[in-house]
Amino acid sequence: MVIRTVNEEASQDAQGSESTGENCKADRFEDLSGVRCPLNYAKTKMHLANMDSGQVLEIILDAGPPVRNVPGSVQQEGHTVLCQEELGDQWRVLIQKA
Amino acid sequence: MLKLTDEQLDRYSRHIILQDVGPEGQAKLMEAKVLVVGAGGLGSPIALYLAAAGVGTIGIVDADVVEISNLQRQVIHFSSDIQRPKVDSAAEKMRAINPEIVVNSYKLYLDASNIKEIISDYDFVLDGTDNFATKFLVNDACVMVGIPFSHGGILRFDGQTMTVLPGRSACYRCSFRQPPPPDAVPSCSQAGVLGAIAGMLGTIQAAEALKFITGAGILLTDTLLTFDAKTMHFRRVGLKKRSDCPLCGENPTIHDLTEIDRATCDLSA
Repeated sequence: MVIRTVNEEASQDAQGSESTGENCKADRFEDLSGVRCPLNYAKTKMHLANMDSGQVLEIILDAGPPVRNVPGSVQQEGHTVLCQEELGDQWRVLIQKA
Repeated sequence: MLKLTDEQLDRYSRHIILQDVGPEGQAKLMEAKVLVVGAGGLGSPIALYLAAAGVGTIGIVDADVVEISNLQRQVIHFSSDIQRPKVDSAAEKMRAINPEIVVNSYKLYLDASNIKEIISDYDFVLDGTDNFATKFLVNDACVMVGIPFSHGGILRFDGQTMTVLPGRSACYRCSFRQPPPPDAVPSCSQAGVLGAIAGMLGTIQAAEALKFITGAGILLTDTLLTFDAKTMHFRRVGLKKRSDCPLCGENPTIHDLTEIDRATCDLSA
């Protein structure tokens, strides 16, 4: 499985925050493929609101606007994007709650 | 544990993705109880935006029925509502926008005998009345009971608003000691008002209520915001909580709402 950051296409904020698949263990998971912006981000924030600091949320986002927007927005609110992994037309994103 | 349904997440998504509101702020809005005094020019946009925002319980007070002359600025009422009680017309639109909210209608005039009991059920009050007697009554009752509120007034092309946190910021009476004589000030119905400024001022008041509930931003406390829509000049006038205020000062002389002679107002909002 190819792991790389979204770099040019996705949020530049995510650069340097990639990690390998072994470190990507999540406390919560939601498949947000097929969920459009900004509802995908609203659902992501809802999960984060109900998690403890340091816990990790794993989400699946569609390529294109979702993965270009959601990880950057999450980081703007102070959370950490641990890794972004391309899975064909989708991306797997791990977010650590601030 | 915050719980919102998928439909709520969708309906309120623009609040939820907003950094200073978020799921936590939306949950506060859904639990909040807000009273809108007057279903007229100011009350219309206030009630519509509070309903749309998902404020869980909204009370609306107005004794009047809808008249054709209201429709130029009171956008919650439609031509088909003429002669209906304003609170019924308003509640119907609010529920149509957002079936999740509870609307409490009060078809009455607020007076010294009923205002304290009504406002005590609410977290925040918005004054959308059209006369000084009721504006002072709302101020005095809110300060006495300790309910934060937004003052608002419009006339011709002008608007003014301030937010009061009783005991913590200047009240209306700190700056304006008493109502002007009844014949000194024209009402909207006598002087005219540009319809859209009701929306300009009412939406500022609605935003203050949403900010108070969610804790976002800085409120218009100790500040009178005024605008002149002719020039579109906005001005902020700093106010101070006065130690010699007859209501909220160190030695208040107003202890009881009924002590004050309050001119009754027969003007329609």
